[in-house]
Formats: sequence, structure tokens, C-alpha cells
Amino acid sequence: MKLKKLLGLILTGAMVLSMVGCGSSGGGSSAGSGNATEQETENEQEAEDTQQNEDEKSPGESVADSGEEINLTFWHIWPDAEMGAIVESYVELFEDEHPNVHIESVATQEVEYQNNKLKVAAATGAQGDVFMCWGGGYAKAYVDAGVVLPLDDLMEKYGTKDELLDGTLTYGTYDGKTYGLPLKQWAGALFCNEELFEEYNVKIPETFDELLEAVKTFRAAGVTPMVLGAKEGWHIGMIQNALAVRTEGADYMNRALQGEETLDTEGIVKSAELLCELNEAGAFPDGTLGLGSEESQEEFYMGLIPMYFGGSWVSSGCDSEENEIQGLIKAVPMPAVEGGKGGINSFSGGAIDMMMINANTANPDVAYEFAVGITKYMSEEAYKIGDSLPAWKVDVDESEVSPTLRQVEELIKNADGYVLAWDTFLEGAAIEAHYELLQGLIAGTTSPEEFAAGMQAAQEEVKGSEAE
Amino acid sequence: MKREKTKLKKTGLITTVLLLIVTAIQLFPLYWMFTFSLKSNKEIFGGNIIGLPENWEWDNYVKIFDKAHLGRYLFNSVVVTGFTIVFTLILSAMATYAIVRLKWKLSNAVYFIFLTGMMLSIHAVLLPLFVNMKPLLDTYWALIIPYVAFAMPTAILLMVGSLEALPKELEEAAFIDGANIYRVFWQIIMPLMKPILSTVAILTFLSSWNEMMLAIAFVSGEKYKTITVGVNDMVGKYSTKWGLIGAGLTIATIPTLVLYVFLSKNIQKSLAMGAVKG
Amino acid sequence: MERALKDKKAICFFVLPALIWFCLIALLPVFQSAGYSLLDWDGIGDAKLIGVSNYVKMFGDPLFFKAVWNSILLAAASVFIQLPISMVLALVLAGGVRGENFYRNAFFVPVIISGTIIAHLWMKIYHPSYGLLNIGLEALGLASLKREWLGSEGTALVACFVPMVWQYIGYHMLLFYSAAKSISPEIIEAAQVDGATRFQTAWRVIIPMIVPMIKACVIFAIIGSLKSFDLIYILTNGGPVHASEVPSLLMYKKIFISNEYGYASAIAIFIILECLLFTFIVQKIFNHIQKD
Repeated sequence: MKLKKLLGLILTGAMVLSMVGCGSSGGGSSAGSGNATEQETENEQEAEDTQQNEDEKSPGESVADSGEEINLTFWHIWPDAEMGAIVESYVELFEDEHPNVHIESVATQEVEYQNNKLKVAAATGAQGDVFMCWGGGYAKAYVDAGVVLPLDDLMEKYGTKDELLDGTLTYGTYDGKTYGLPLKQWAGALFCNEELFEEYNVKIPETFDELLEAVKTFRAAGVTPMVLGAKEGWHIGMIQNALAVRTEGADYMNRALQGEETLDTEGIVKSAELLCELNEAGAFPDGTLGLGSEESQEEFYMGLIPMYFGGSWVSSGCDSEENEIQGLIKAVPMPAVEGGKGGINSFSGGAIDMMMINANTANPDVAYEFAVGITKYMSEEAYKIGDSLPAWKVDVDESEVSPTLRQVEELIKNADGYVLAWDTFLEGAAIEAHYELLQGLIAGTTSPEEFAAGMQAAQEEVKGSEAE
Repeated sequence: MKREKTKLKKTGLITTVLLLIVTAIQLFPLYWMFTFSLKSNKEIFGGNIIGLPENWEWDNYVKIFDKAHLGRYLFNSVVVTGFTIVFTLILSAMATYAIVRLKWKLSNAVYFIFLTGMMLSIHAVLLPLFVNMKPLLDTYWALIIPYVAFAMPTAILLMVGSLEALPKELEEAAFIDGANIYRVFWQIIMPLMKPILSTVAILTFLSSWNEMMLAIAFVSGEKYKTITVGVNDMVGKYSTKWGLIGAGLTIATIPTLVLYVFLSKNIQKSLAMGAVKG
Repeated sequence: MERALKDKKAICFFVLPALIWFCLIALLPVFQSAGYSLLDWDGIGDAKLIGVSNYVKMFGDPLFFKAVWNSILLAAASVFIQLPISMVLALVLAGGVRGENFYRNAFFVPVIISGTIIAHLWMKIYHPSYGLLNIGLEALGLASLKREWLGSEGTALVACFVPMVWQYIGYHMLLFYSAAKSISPEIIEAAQVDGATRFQTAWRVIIPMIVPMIKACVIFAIIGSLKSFDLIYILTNGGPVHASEVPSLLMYKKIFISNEYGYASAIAIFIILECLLFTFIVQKIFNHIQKD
């Protein structure tokens, strides 16, 4: 008897504790993710009704009319000062226009967000009302689990599609339905430090053979020729993936990565061989397998390494006053590969960074309006600072845009195909396998044939378990 | 007698030299972190890795306080860590007393259950814990409660070892004087355990202060962000301003140093007291 | 007094708050994880019960064995290298030297500094072209010993072990030290009056008296090694080509990168059982020692 009484007491104590905890969360100000789910069941019907009644209205009006207090949470990956300030300035703008809407933005550092925060929360649909996410393979599990809101009706209603550039929705679309609004586009390019090329009397490479020559010349002169932080698999992938665009062509790669074609083709073996050739010629830093991408690229930004094959985001570093290479960089396409199926106008890249909406949100219309607004806004701002190419039809004074990014933009004017980085295209276990095999190529423990066969096996396993 | 003395002195000198070498090695990270926070990217990546900064960029500290809500983060960390330590010490000491001194059949089994907690890794329980803790997310308790739970096993293991070594005479005397068990615990056992309590407090402090997985997943927004997460935010994927990061890391480390020195003085005091009473 | 110590109410009062707190928060998720380990599940969508297939897969995976072996090597390094160093430092300090408190605090510093900083520091030390280690070797005329420490399969594992062993020397030192200090001074004085040298006092008097703490430290060191994650995650991320893979890191990658939640849970359960097994063995060994 006594024991039971005591137990009861303790449990009551625990409950009081937990209630105190809830109280201190600040009640209404933050739209607790837990509450959102409950609210959702109540409001679902209501939301649908409103949606039907409000056809033809611009999203702004629909919100302003209702006048009720609305709380939205916005999850993003920009806790840093520069991008964070851009986010906050739009949030303020939006709140000014919609006095009844309060937006709480939650910033988490990218790697932690991708691997930990979003995955854990999405398992129970508890992520923010509007959340930053990656299309392609990454969001597929979330879409399948039903925690992401399909946007087709809303896009139709507000005529959003007309404002987007062609092809930017591809990787936010699953089974014919659109789930993501593209934030930006990227394209891969070879960034060359012209000063170093002149100093060592090297020609900026247009073909792979010239690239190999350049590598050998720089290496002989004691200069590390290219940036690579092979500790991070994706960084090797940037180069190999781009080579595969040359050897196998963009169309084939896109189908193959979707599982419609195989990955163990001659062309893909060839792309791995070319990577190995570069590696054997001494293209990459000593001990690259122990270097992170940042450590390695820093030497490029300091003007010590002549070549960096990377995404358009490299531009912002090239133009930054903090670095030593302002005005010295020439961006060129990945050099042509003789006998390859892909031409010089195919690029690695695409639109993969998306804004998505939580399927459990209580206010899909407001969330949508905010998502569209911030996406457009950031697309423009990121373009200006040289981070990425816009995904929306933006109107930006060219003089405001980062000069190196302008070069990349010139390159892709006649682009006839894009292929995303494989690790954003692939799903789950295949990503890990991709990184492993790439490292194996650099370490010399994996042959190009094994690489291609390994990728195919990993892809089959992932696709196979889905089919079941 | 004389020979004995000289011998001791000689060992003393060698020991001192060795101790100073070890000290230099152990203190190197502090020196490195501090100088690194005052350097520019060019210096850090340009080869001046361990030397003193060429230009002392104090500006890094000004910038870091301007940009991040470091004050808020520090406050959050202090609240979370403070509560975690208090709960861990009290609950673990109580459990330890029951396991070591009280006489009941299941005491070994319960001890064993607590010990299994040491084998848990936080990654493995992250998802189920998130689901279980859902009503408390976005509060300080979302961090304090799991931190305490994960700190208790180590605390209990250490305290059990230390309490077992303590003589029982004082308690026996108190019981004979008619004190009840709660008073014995509070007035005899707790003071006797002070040295180990200080040690446990330090270890608990460190593990919760530096914890990141839960601190990222279980609280959102600026309101409850801890300093460790705040500093990690600055080490962004494309962020290249290493001096700033160094400044952030230094600021995050200073409180741990101060608190350590504070708690460590406590250890000395309680050690002295323990010696008198024991 | 006997009666007071058997009082059920008191026992519950002392043990239940901690026990309930611990079981609900720490232990319950373990059982949930054990359940997940029987599923084919990506952590988000639908799950399928597949029995012990994840365990079969795990025990058929050479990579898993490599990771386990690496963690056992680390445990051995901790017990046979780290703990003896900590013990020597603790005994020297506890024996009384000038500046005892200063040294004790200084030795503990690496424990206080977060793993992230320690890892970044060592990355700079190991850096192939401008790292302290290689530059130092060159300066000493030992250029032939220069290595790509973290970037080659031969050295990566050892290169990860060094900072891990080093960082926690101060931790164990503090525990040994506080145990040695709680021995009453009379006992030590008595030994010294009998003519024992400092070394003899330490070996014959102090060490036997702090065996419970040694046991605790051995258990900490082993469990800590078997679960090690932070430093390796930053230093090599298990590479190159899994040369420095450890089970916790493998589990982390399975959960958060490959979305193989079921498989990762099986690894988690394995780590727990492995730790239990080692703890059991250590307990047995020490029971044996303590009886002698």
C-alpha cells in the first residue's frame, strides 16, 4: 500500500515537472510542432473549405481577410550572419505585410540539419510548417511517408509556375506531383586561377588531355594542381560525376540515376578511369584522403592552387574580399573528353535545394505564400552574392551580380543538359556506397570496373527494396 | 638521514621537469585555440599554425558578439547544465545510498540496471527518445531530463565505489543517537561524499555543456539554443572565417574553465574536510 | 539500525526517483530500438517485420567486424597505455609535489575542451603539407618519417587513437587522484615510517586500496572506446576506405545517411551487449584480484 502511494506521489511530481516545462515554452508565441498535428485534424476540413472559397484571390488577400492570429515555423540552414540576415529581412517584410502572421525561424547548421534535425523531426511529421529540404533522393522518403504537402493545387491557384524557370521543378516532383519550390540552381565549372596559369606558362585546358598536361606541369613545378578534400565523398563525386556527363552524356545519366538504365556501362567506367588518371598524375593535394573540402579549398582561395572543379557556389568565395583571388578567376566548362557521348554544353548541376511545406501545417495557404516569397527573395539575393543561379525569373541588375558567377552564367547559356550530383539523386544506402567507392578510387583499392559494378549493385538494392 | 634527503631532492627535480613537460602538452590546446582566434585566414592556412599571430585580430571577438546571440546561448547553457547537475547529484546520491547501505534483495539488480545505461549511445536512442519526449520539446526540460538520465549511470558507478570505501562508524553512531534514515543520509552521508560529488559535478557539467545531438534535435529556434550549438552554427559548410570560429570556440570554452576552477577548489576543500572527519 | 536499513518506504524513497527517471528516459528507448532492429525500416515511412535478418546481415558484413576490431584495439590502447599514464601522474601528484593543484588542473584541461576543438587541433597537427608533425619531423632531419597521417590507410587508425588516448588521460588521472587522496594519511605515514620508499608505498599501499576506482576506470575506458565516435567522426569520418571505422560511426552512417534504421538499431543493440560482456569480464577479473 505504502509503496503504491509513494509511486503515485512520484508520478504526480513528474507530471507537475513536465507541466512546468510546458508552461515555460512560452505558450502561444511559438507554434509548437506537437500542437500543430492536433490542430491540423481540427482545421483540416476548415482549411479545405477556405481553399475552395478563395479561388481567384491572391494569397495575400486571403490571409489579410481572415484577421486571425497565425503562427508559422520556418526551418532553414542559414545560422550564419550573411545568409541569416537575408532570411530575417524577408521574414520582417512578410510580417509587415501580414500583421496577423508571426513567423518563427529556426536555423540549424546544414550538416546537422540534413543528418539529424530534419530526419528526426520528419519521422513524426514534426518539422517546421515551411522547411528547407533537398529534392531528388533525399526527400523521397519524406514524400512517401506523407509528411510533405503536395503543391499542385496551390501552384495552380496562384499561377506560380509562370514565374519559375523551365526545368527547375523536376527534382521536387515525385510520381507526377510537385512537392518542392526550387530555391536556386547550380552548375559545375572548372575555376582556374589565371595568374598561376600565366606564371607557370600553362594553357587553360579545353580538353581532358590538356587538363592532364596542365596537372603534370603544375605538379612538376611543385604546385598542387587541383583542389580535392577526399575525406568527404561528395567532393570526389563533383569531379567524377562531371566526367560522367562527358563520357556517358546527360540524358543517359539522368535515366540511369533514376534506375531506368544501368550504372555499370563503359562510359561510367571511363569516367572513373579518368578520375584515376588525374589522381595518378598528382592532380590532388598530398594526403587528400585525410583532408576535408574546406581545408582543401582554402588553399585555392588563398591563391595557392590553380584549379578547382566545383559548383557555382565557388564563385562567392572567388569574389569575396576575404580571399586573395578577386578578379583572377576564369570559369570554364569541364574539359571535353574525346570519344565521350556528352558534349561541352552538358553540365553537372540543377535545382535541388527546395522549400517544402509540412503536410501537417494548419495554414497551408499562408505557408505557401511565405514559401513562395522567401524562395523568390533568396533566389535573387543568393544570385547577387555569387552563391547560386536563380531558379525564378528574377529581375536583377547585372552589375550587382558576382562577376565570377556571371562567367558561369555565360557558360550555361547554351546548356543542353544537366545532371545533378549523384549523391543528391541517389537514395539511402546507395549514397553511402557512392562515397565509399569514390574513396576507393582515390586510395587505389577500387578499380574503375569495380566502381561501376558497385554503383549498379547499390542502385539495384535500393530500388529492389522499394519495389517490394 | 643526509643521504636520504639529497636523494629525495634529486627525484624532485626530475619529476618537476617531467611534470612541466606534461603540463605544456596538456595546455597546448588552450594556447592554440586562443592564438588561432586572433589570426586571419591567410595566416592560418598560410603556414602560421602554432606561432603567435602576426596581426592580433581582436576584431574577431567584437564581430562574434555583434553577430551571434552569444549572451542568450550562454544563459541557456548555464540553465540547462545547472539543473542537470543538481538533479544528477541528488538523485544519484540517493540511489547510491540505497544500493550501498540499505538492505534489500534487488539492490544488486538495480545497480546493474543503472550500469547498463553507460553502454547506451545517444545516436541509437535519438529517434525513440524524440517521440517519447514530444510534449516537452522546445523547453529546457527537453534537454535537462535526458541529460540527467544519461549522466546518472556514471555518477552512480563513481559514487558507489566511493561510498563503499567510507567507514560506517559515523552512521552507526548517528542511528544509536536516534537519528532517522533521512537525516543520516542528509547530514552524514552527503557531507562525507562531497569529494566524489564535486568530481561527478565536473564530469556531468562537461558532458551536458558539450552535448550537441540532442541540443540540435530537441529544441528549435534561438530561444533555447545552447552555446555549443551556437558555435557549431558558425562552422558552416561554406563558412571560411576561421578566426571568427576560433573566437566563438574560445568564448564557449571560457565558462567551462571558470566553472572547472571553481568546482575544483570545492574538491580541495571537501578533501580537507573528509580527511578531518574520516 | 538494521530495521531502519530495511525500511521499504525509505528504500523506495531513495531509489525510485532515479530508477523511474532513468528507465523512462534512457532504458525505454533501448527496448524500442531492439524492436526496430527487427524491422526493415528507413526511419520515416512504413516498416516491415523481417525478424533477425538485420543481425544475419550484420554478422555477415566484414566491414562490421573490422569496425568492432578497431574499437577493441582502441579499448586495449586505453587500458594499457592511457590508464598507466594517468595512474603515474595521479600518484605523483597525490604523493605531494609543489604546485600539486596547478598540475592537477592543467592536466585536466584537454578533458574540458570540447571534442570539436580537440579534433580540429589534431587535424592541423596532422596536416600533410603544413602540419606541425610533418614540419617538426623535417626540422629534426627525419623527413623520411613524414606521412599523410590521416589520409593513408596504414596510419589513420593510430593517428585517431593518439588524440583519443591523450584527451582522457586527465580524466582518469583525476579519478585516481581523488581516490588516492581519500586514503587516510595515517596509513601512508605508517608505511613510510616502516621505511617504504615512495614507489613502494604507491605500489603496496595506495594501489591496492584504490582497486575499486581502478575497476571503475577500466570499465569507463573500455566502454568509452567501444562507443567512441566524436573525434573519429571529425578526424577521418572512418576513412580512408574504412581504415578507421568504428561501430558507432558505422551506426551513425546507417541511420543518418543510408536511412537503414533497422540495421543501425541492430548495431546499437550489439554495442550494448558487447559493452555488457566486457563489463562482466572486467568485474570477474577484479573480483578475483580483490579476493587475493
